[in-house]
Amino acid sequence: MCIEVEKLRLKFPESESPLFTGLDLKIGKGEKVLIVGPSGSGKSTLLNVLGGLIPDTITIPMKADRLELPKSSAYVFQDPDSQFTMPTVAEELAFVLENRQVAEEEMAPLFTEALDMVGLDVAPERAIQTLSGGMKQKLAIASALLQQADTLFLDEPTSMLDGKSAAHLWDTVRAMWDELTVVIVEHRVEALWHQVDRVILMDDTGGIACSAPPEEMLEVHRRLLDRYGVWHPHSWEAAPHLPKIAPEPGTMMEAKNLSIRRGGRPLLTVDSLRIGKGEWITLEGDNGTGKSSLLLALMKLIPSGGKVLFGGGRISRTRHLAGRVYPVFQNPELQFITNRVFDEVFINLEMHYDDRTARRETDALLERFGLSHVAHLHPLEISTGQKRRLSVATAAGGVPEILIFDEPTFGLDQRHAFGLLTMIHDMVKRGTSVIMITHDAEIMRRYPSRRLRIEDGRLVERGDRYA
Amino acid sequence: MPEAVKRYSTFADRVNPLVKIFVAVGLFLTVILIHDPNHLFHLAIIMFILLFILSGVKYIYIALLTGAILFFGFISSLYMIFYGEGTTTIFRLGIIHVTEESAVRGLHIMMRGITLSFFGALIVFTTRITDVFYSLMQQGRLKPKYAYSFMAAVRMVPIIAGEYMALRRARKVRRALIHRKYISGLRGFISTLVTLLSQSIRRAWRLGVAMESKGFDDGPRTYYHRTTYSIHDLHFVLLILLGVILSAFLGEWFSPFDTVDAR
Repeated sequence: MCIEVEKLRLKFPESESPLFTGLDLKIGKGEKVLIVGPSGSGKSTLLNVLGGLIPDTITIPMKADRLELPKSSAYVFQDPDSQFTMPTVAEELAFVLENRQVAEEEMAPLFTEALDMVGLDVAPERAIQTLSGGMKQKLAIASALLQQADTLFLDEPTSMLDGKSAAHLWDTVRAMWDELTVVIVEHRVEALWHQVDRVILMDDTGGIACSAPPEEMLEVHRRLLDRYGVWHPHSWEAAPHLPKIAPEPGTMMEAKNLSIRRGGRPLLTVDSLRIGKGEWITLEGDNGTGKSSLLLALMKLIPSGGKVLFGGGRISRTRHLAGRVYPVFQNPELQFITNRVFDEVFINLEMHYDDRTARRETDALLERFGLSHVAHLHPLEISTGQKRRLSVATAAGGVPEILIFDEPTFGLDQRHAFGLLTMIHDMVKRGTSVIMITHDAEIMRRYPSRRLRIEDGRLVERGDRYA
Repeated sequence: MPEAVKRYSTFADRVNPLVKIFVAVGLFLTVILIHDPNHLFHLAIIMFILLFILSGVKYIYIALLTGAILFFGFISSLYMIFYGEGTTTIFRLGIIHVTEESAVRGLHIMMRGITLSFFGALIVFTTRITDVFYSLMQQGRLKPKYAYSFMAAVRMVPIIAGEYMALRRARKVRRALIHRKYISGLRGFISTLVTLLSQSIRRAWRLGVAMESKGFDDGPRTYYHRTTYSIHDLHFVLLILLGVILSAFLGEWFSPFDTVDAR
């Protein structure tokens, strides 16, 4: 056995009830295990216990009747930007070797070897800041390799990557994992599911609901997976059926000869883009092709050449359309300005109603967004899915005519993703136009009335257009 | 310093960062003790020449920087020039009273400022921030936990700057829907601060966990960049020393100011 845990009890000091009350887990040497579960089920916490980060580094009281942990372990974390210490690739890899007290002259060949193994073809003196998300995660794996650990813990390593980079990253992990015990926590599992030896499903009370080989999990326990709202390769079969809505006549917004530059070079040109009333448009394209920049340019939040027209008039500043066109950014936290979830919505509505009505309307809106039970909390305290919904709710009151989303289902579990899509569908039905950046092929296939794609620096129309 | 601004490297790039810091402290004390504006005049010129030759930075950046240094130097001397005491009046208008003595004193202060700014710029352009901390650990006996924390913090700066830009955009969009009081003035400032701080604190915490998971502790370690004292350090110290002495002689030979004591 590589890992053996019996009767694990753990409680966060600030929470009322314990997270784990007697969890048992065994993972064999060389086994590849995928842990899935609803948000808040303690997957990451469990991973941190298994790797010995809790209680040594993260001080959280815990007890177990038996705790056998790997002698040496390495982690790859979710956020590429908060796991590197040093400015350049070489220095970052050296950081691990310095910790192991490897002699200075032996370091360089080890870098080359590790970078080769993960297929990261960059100069060692390259600044980490200039790497893409996928490259950063490969670097994290290279640095884990240099730790010479026998167990690798991966905590949602692909959650910030596009589909292509994510698939690529799993190829990299698979190419080097033969000798290792690997424990993975992950939401996006399509590329991974059938590669692991075993899938462990956590329930929402801090226990293990089910543990089985991946095929058996899908065949026998699929209903359990759906019940806990966990993504699996067949999740989309249970997706909500939202009939495509025919756009209404009339143009909401138009862009002509838009050109966007980045770092002095042309990034994207749009000859003509017309957004009709009640359209649901998806925007696809690889990382770094300028999808987010296009949305910012439409809002006049970054400079661009060409014309943007809204409601027939030419727009030169953000405030000419703010409120009527509303973007929900990738990091919803930056959109919050008050100290309470309730206030976050209330300050919008108090502009339109008297105090009593505004309170009532706020309650109703929070109810609709499934946020009533967290109304008293600080907006930064709630879960990722709740934050995303709250940031949509912050558009309330203005009744936006166009809603812009930058990867709205990122990091959401199945239940919340489907909930959000249904909500967006409701809004489209009421005549709001939606533009949405997404990497999810299933969303592109199922819901939009029109698909756009950025290819070779140009915006192009994809088929599937609503007749 | 980012490689993008450099044209070539000189021996100044290889001088131990600690030596540079000590020389900077020494130069600061020296400049404060120089009261002869003629002496300082030449020292400022010598420092500019050293910056021009040794930094290896593209001309455009040197030109921009020099412009900024001269401008701010001049602005900072105005207070002394306009309101300083003196007997020989050059110009008087209301409370503004420029005398010969105050003008010299003002310019003297300006030259102190630009001398140190030119030298400071030379250090910044020839020193990598990681080398400073590697040197502090190896020659200065700084504990690794402080050195690496600082290096990690430096890495965070552009990330925080990007986050601030994103925050401003988000606010710009929300502004239209809510009352001004929530977003402007002190309240807006506090909520901006809280948001940015909370993001940074959480990122710092995650990074701390990541560092420890990579086996980082405060114990003995090896160093990828070995920094030592070298002959370059001696050259650098001698060069600056020579510059200070030379400027004193030049001050006697060519004296743009009549007085030899600005006090």
